[in-house]
Amino acid sequence: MSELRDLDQLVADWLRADAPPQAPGRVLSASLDRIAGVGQARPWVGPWLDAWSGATPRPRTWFVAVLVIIAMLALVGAAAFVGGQPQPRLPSRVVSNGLIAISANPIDVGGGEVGDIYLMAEGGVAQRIIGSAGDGVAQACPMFSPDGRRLAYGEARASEPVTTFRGVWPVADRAVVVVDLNDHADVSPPTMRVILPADPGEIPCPEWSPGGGQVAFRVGPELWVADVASGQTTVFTVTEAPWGEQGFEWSRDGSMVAVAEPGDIRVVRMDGSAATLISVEAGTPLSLGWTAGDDRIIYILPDPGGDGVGISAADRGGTNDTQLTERTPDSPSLENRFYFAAVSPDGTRVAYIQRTTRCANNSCTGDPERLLTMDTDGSNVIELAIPPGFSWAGLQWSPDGKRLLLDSIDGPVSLAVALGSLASVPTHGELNLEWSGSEVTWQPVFP
Amino acid sequence: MRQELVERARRGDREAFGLLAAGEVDRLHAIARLVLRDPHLAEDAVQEALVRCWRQLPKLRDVERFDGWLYRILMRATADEYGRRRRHESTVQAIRVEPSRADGAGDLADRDELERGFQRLSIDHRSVVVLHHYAGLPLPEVAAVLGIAPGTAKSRYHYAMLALRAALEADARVGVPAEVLA
Repeated sequence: MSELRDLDQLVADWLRADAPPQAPGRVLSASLDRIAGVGQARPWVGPWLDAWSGATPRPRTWFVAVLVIIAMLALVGAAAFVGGQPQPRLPSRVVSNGLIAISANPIDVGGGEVGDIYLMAEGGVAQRIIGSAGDGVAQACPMFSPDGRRLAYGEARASEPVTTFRGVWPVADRAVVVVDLNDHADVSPPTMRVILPADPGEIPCPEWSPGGGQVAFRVGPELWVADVASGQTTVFTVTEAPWGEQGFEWSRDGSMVAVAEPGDIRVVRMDGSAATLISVEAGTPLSLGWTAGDDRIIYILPDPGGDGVGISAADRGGTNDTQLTERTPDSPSLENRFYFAAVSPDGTRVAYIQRTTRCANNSCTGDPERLLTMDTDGSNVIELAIPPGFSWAGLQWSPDGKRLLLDSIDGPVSLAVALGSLASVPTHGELNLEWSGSEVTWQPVFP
Repeated sequence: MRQELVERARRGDREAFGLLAAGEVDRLHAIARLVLRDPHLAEDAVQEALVRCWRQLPKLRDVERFDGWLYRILMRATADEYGRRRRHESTVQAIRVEPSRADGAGDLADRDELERGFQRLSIDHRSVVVLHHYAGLPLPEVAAVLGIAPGTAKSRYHYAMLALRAALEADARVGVPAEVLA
C-alpha cells in the first residue's frame, strides 16, 4: 500500500515518470507550417498603459483610439439624454444591518482582477458604485467603516485591459482608497488614497481600526497603518506570508493588531512597544479573530500544506493555546477540515465551516460542508442549515450579530443565526466573485 | 539569449520564433500530455498554443513574464481541446485496470491507481496538479497562469489531492488479499 503521507512526493514522481521526454517532431514542424501563413496581432495599448509596458505608441493607433473613445462617449451621452432609463435608486431607508458591498464582475466577464464594487440591499439587486466596465482598474476587498459612512478598498491596475481575459497577478499601481457614502449610497470622490510602492504585488486589502480613524493593510513584510484624516502612514515590520494567507485583525480596543505569519501570530502594538509572537505549529494561521475583552485570539490551525485542521485559541500573551474543535481521529478513513472561522461582533461565538471526508466499503466520499457555531471555549456547538451546491469562499457575521453572510462565487448568501433558515441568494446569476473571502462587507447602521 | 529571442519574435521575426518554439515544445507537450492523458489531443493543443503564442506575442508587454504567459496560453488551448473532445465524444469508456499485488511491489500498482484517480479529476483540477507538481510552480503562480484567485487554486489543489488519496485508499482496499479480510 502506498505511504499516503508522502502523497505529494508520490504524485510528483509519477508525473515526472509519466511525462514524455520529447514532443514528436511533427508537432513543431506542423506548428511552424501553420505560423507561416499567420500574421501577428497588432498591439493596442491605451495611453495609460504605455508607461507601464514600455511600448512605443504608434501615431495611427493613437488616432484610432481617440476616435473610438470619442464615439463611445457620444453614444453613452446620447443614450442617457434620449431614452436611457434612470439607474434604479438604492433604498434610502436602511435596515439595522445596512447595505452589502461586493467586489465582483458581471457574470459574463469572468472572475479576476478587473472587479468593481457593487452595492446591494439584502435580497436586492446589485448596483455598481465604483469602477466601470473595461476601465482596466481593479477595486477589491471593500470594507465598511465602523460607523458605516465610509468605504475603504484596495485598488490596482489590472494586468490586462480586456475585461473578458483574466489578468495575471501580481498587479501594479496599487493603492488603498477611502470614499464617503451618504444616505442614498452616493459615493464621494476619494477622501484618502495611499499609494503603495510601484513594484508589482498583491492588491492590498484594508481593515478599519475599531475607532474608524485608521486603516491597516499588509505590504510584503510590512503592516501599514494609515491615518484616514491625513493619509500619513506608520509602518510596522512583520514577516511576509504567502499569497492568500495574509490575514490580520485589529483588537477590539484598537491597541493591537494580530498578524498571521508563517509559524506564528505576531501581536503588533500600536504604541510601538515590543510585539508578542504566538507560536503556531505547521503553516500560517488563518481566520484570526479576537474574543470579548481582547483576551484571546481565535485562529484556524493549519497543517504544513495550509489546510485548516482545527480551530484554536491562545491568550494574547501566547499562553494557554488550546484547540477548540476535536482533532481528526487517528484514522486514514476520516479527515476533518475547517474553513473561515469568524468571531461574532460581541466576541462570544465563533462561526465556521467544517467538512469531513469518510472512507468505507472501498470508496471515499466527502460529506457536505457544515456551518457550525460554538462558544469561544469550544462548547455549545450548534449546526445551521446551509443550501447545497455552493463553493463557499468566505463567512462573516452581520453587524448586529443576528445573521451570517456566506460568500460564494455566485454571490453572498445570508441566513439567520437563530433560525438557521436560508434568507436569500441575492446575486446568483448576476455577479461573478472570484477574488477571495474578503470581497463582501456588510454595512453597520446606527439609528 | 532567450529573452532576446522573445523580443525578436515579438517584433515579427519568424526565425527567432522558430528557435524559441523549438526550445519550448518538449516542455509544453509534456504538460499537455499529462493534463489531457491523450497523445493526439496533446499534440493538437501544443500546436494551437504555439500558433496563438505567435499571434499574440506583440501584446506581451513584459518579456520577463513570457514563461507564465506561455503557460497560460497552453492551458487555455489544453482546456479548449479537452472541451472539443467532450463535445464530440458522447460517451467515454472507463478502462478498469485491476491492481496487481502478486509481485509485492507497490510502484506499478500506485501508478495504475494514480492514473485512474487522475482520470476522474476535472481538467481544472488536473491542470493545478500538473502545473504545481510537474512544472514546479508555486500555487500562487498556478493561480496566475490559470487566471483564478490564489484561494481557488489552493482549493482545487486540495480537492484534487483528496481525490487522489481517496483513489489510492480505495484501490488499496480492493487489492487486499482475501485471506487478510477473512
